[in-house]
Amino acid sequence: MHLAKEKKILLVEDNPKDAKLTIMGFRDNNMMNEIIHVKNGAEALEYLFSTGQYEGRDTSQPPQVVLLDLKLPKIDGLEVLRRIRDDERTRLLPVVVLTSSNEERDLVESYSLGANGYVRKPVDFSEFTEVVKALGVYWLLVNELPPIPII
Amino acid sequence: MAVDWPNPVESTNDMTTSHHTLDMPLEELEDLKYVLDVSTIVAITDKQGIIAYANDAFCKISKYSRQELLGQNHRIINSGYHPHEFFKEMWATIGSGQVWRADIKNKSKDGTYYWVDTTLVPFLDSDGKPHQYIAIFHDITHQKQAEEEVQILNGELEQQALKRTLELQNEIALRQDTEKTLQLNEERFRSLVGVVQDYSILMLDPEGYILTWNEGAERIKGYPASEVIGKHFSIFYPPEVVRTSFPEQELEISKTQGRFEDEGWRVKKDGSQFWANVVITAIYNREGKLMGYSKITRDLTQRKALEQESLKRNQQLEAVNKELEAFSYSVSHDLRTPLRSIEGFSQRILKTKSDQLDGEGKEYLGYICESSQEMAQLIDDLLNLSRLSRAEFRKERINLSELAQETLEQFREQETGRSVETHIQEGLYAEVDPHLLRVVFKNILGNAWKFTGHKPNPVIEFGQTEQDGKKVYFVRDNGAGFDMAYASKLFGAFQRLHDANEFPGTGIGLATVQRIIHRHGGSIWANSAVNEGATFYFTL
Repeated sequence: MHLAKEKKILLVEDNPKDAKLTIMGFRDNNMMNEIIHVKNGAEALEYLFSTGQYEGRDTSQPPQVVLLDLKLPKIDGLEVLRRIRDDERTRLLPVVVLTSSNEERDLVESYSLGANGYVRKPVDFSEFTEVVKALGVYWLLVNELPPIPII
Repeated sequence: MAVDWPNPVESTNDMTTSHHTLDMPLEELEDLKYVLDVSTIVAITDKQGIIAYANDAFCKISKYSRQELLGQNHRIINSGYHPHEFFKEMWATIGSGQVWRADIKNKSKDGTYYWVDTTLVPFLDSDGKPHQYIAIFHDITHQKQAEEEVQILNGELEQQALKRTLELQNEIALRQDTEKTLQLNEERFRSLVGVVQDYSILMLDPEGYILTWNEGAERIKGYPASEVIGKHFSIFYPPEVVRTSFPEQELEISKTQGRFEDEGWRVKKDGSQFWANVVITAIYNREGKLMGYSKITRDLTQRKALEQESLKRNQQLEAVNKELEAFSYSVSHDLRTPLRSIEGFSQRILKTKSDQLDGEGKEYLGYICESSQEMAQLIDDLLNLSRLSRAEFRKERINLSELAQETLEQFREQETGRSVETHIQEGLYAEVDPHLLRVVFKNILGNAWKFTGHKPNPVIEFGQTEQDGKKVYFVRDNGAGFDMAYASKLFGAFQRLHDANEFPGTGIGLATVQRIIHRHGGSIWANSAVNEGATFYFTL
């Protein structure tokens, strides 16, 4: 399995243990791609739009996918998604909601705002690892990004 | 015409004309007779009344010829008009030698009547007894007819007067009756309106000034009638409302549309306000002229307070519901997150650091993982239960037999190693929420599937029976069953009747099922004995 190392993942996750488990899931499945971990919604937007602490970052390579938690401090996941879709530069960026919630309204809202996927984090670690693996395989290997550089 | 002019009776009596002594010369008598014959009607009868002489005038008026008259009794011309006493008196008078005078109605030959003013003069014999009578008549038929007509007219007039009098009497009686009824009705109406306590009922004149007042009005508004009659009805409105001339607008609307209804705050005598329902109705007379308005007011302050109270409660309830939703959202999201860490990192240790652990350490870490998963399951079940009451409820006709079949097929696919005998009654339909019924079947059939796990020949049955005329569905198994002593705990959340190591579960399934059945307006109950299987009955 060839993995293009330059393909990045943006992980928006406030819980460091969940973030660690997610990253572990990728690594356990031999996916060594760069994972940019931001801890809240505001930081996610700063990264995506190269503002604040991310001002002047290398924008040549957009993330292959944004894994977005919903319950986030400051700016919550749904608001982050809304701003991503509202901005011409990030309108087509693949965003997958990765959350503990399986509330119907969260699902409906996420898809309404243009999420490309919705994954509920299983409690069982082996199941969780399987989910992370499936995400990695699909978004890093199978899926093609739109031809125009997004950011 | 030669006539036997009888000899006048000689008399010594000077009291009557008949006693005049005829001592005038004969030619004078002849002249006198002539004068009498042309001027009057003359007849002479004998003492029995037999006509001995009738002059031409007599013949003419009686329409009999002289031959027909002579020798006949004078009764020939009796009209029958006068009573017997009349003639009796006549005979008595003339019999005693006195002159008799009266108006007599006679009948002529052709049946017509005529009236004659009659003078009967008896001629007396030497014994002073009458031996003949001379009768002198004057035709007074016209006069009598006129009199009769007048009489008839008078009679008619009298009758008309009588009739009219009677009519008037009747009319007066009727009017008195009507007046009495009206008075009674008015009294009834007054007392009816007057004593009504729950409604203020009053009349306004066309300008809105108060004309009448009832007990209800006094009770509701606090004014006695004496203080309020003649005042303008805007005194019942708060000043800020009066300033907008709303009361006048009410009358205007009522005038143009016939009726006006409103609910709002009104003012009592003491200045306190009450919530009123007001209906103002314009009253027109028969000619279409506005007579005024009826104004009926109810005090709905209590109802208003109740409404506000219930509104407040609803808002509180909504707030509580929102809190609950937020809580379950929290439960769903936040409680799972630490569990995932506990489970995840325990697994991680077991997987990558197991060489650093002894058997006991591995065992305990295993327990941690198991417990985490149990708790995750608990959280999920609890969430599903709480979602039930929030979920949309939509009934449609579905095939329960097929649903049972599908559900059991799923269990078969999940546990391919097991062989379970199933009997499903075909063609059972019901009006239900398909999504919620799926949850019911998943739980009840799931229980049957689970609790027959230790049986060598498991059998699960779904069917329908009838109880008190109602359709009752049942799910029967030959599994572990339960002690009926604990039946009351069966449908409580987190209630379990079996050891977890024997039959796993969170104890939420049947609580969920019961909630769904109740939402359908049905009920659920069970029958069982330990090791003899269980039957769950439910209605929808």
